[in-house]
Amino acid sequence: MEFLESNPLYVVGIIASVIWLGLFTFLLGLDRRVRKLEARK
Amino acid sequence: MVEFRTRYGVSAVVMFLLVTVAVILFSAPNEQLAPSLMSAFFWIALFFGAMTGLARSFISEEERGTGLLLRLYAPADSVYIGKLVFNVMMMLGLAIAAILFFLFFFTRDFSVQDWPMFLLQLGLGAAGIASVSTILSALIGRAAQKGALLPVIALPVLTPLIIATTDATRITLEHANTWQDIRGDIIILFSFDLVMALFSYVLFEFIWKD
Amino acid sequence: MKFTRSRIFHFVVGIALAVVTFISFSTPMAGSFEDVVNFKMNSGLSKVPVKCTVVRPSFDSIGKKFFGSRDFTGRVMPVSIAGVLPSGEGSTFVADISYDAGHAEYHLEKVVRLDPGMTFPLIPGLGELGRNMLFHVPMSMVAFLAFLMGTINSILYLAKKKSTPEQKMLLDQKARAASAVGLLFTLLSTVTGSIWAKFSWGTFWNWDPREVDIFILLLIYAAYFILRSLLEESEEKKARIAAVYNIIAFASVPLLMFVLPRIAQSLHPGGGGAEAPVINANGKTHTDPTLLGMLWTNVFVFVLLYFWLADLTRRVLGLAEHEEEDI
Repeated sequence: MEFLESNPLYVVGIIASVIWLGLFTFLLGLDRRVRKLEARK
Repeated sequence: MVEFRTRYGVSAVVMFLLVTVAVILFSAPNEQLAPSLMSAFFWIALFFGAMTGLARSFISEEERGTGLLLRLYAPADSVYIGKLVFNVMMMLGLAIAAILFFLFFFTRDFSVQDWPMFLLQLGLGAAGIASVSTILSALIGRAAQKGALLPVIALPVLTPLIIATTDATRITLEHANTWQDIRGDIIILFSFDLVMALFSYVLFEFIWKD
Repeated sequence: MKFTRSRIFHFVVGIALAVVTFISFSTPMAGSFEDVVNFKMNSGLSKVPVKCTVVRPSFDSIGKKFFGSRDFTGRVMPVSIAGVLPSGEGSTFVADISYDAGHAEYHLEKVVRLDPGMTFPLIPGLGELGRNMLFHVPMSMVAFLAFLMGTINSILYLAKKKSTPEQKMLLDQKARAASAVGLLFTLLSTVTGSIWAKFSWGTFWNWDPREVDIFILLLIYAAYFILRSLLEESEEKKARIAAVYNIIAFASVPLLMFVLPRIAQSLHPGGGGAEAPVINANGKTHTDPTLLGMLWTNVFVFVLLYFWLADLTRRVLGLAEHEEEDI
């Protein structure tokens, strides 16, 4: 905690990473869904 | 095969210009208008005048159902050249009318310091507007809500031209001997016109055929 | 493209972007000894982080002294320190340094990071905000790449007269997907840019030349999709008209992104006939290899992300059209 307080930039970095991880899982999920639909076609 | 049949649009466009000038006069009575404002008003009047006038060139064909006939009897490039020549001439006429109106109504503020350069950049700007709106008006020939669509799609495409030409107009209103100052603008205008005219000529065939 | 479908590619992109984001945030920013003096005189900052190397510790009347070296020129400066040295001879660290003009002397205030590895230069007036460059600039670049790819696909669509309707449909979908992803990246670039502007210029939006141009760019490609949706034609003619518009619209994109911002006076670096964007502390152009290397690495990773996004969008479009055919 102390480390984060003295380096607020890491907080920004963590937020950015969390956003990116969310986006990444969304993209992977979308890819899987598209794959399924394409296979049905 | 030049098309002069769409002549009836001209009077409406000139009226449109006059109304724009009147609105500027009413909204800024007895104001000293700086060259930058004058240049902005001038191009606003010219741009929207052009949009009301030039939008008609293909849309009216579709509305009156003559587009099909034209498609049957004329090759694509001659139709395009005809429309382009007509639109450029109309745009130049519009520009001359705008100059006359502005000289008459804004005698004090609209004092061009460098006429040759002013006319050069005006001609290039007007030709650019004409060629872009020719091809775009052909594009939206059969779209829904066509009247409103042309300014919406033409303004973004024309922005580089508008930025350059308003800048050049402002400079020619400010002082004489402007070649050094507006050279960059003129180069942008010229290359923009050239690229647009070439692209339009090549691409017209694809939108003209069914 | 085949490779954009593979799972391995997806994970490579995912991990690369996470790593690159982490490095972009965690690399410390450090200036030079010159910066300490300049910052104090120009912006009243008393402490500036500097990358120091311990050269030869020695003692004299003032107190403990050690020698720090500058980043590139390697000039050695004496720095006074109150406590003990953080590390031995030859080691590197980043520390807040202040300057005492009365005695013409540097003081070590606080050690920020030991063994920093690489550091980014401190840009005057930006400070830590300068990191945003590592995201903002690649996004604009990828947006341009996307519009370029969209236009290439549009040109191919019109030029390939002999290909089958399926192939043509694919090209049209590719063009649309590329423009959509380009629009997305333009939006991201606008958002990161305006947040940056809020903190370094004071307002979210200034109608700076580049801001005007990016706004127009958004309008151009929004108009592309509006035009397509309003056309009352067959799918084939719709695609043809959209392709023509895309090519015409792209003609003004280089003007908007490269020519006009360099002519007009601008808050962005590189405006008003200035040289290339300033990205190092000395006001020279393109001389900081670390920051530039990181920038291009980020560009590369964003390009990979672009390929994934564009292909995914293309496939979604394909499915949507397939669905319509079934109904």
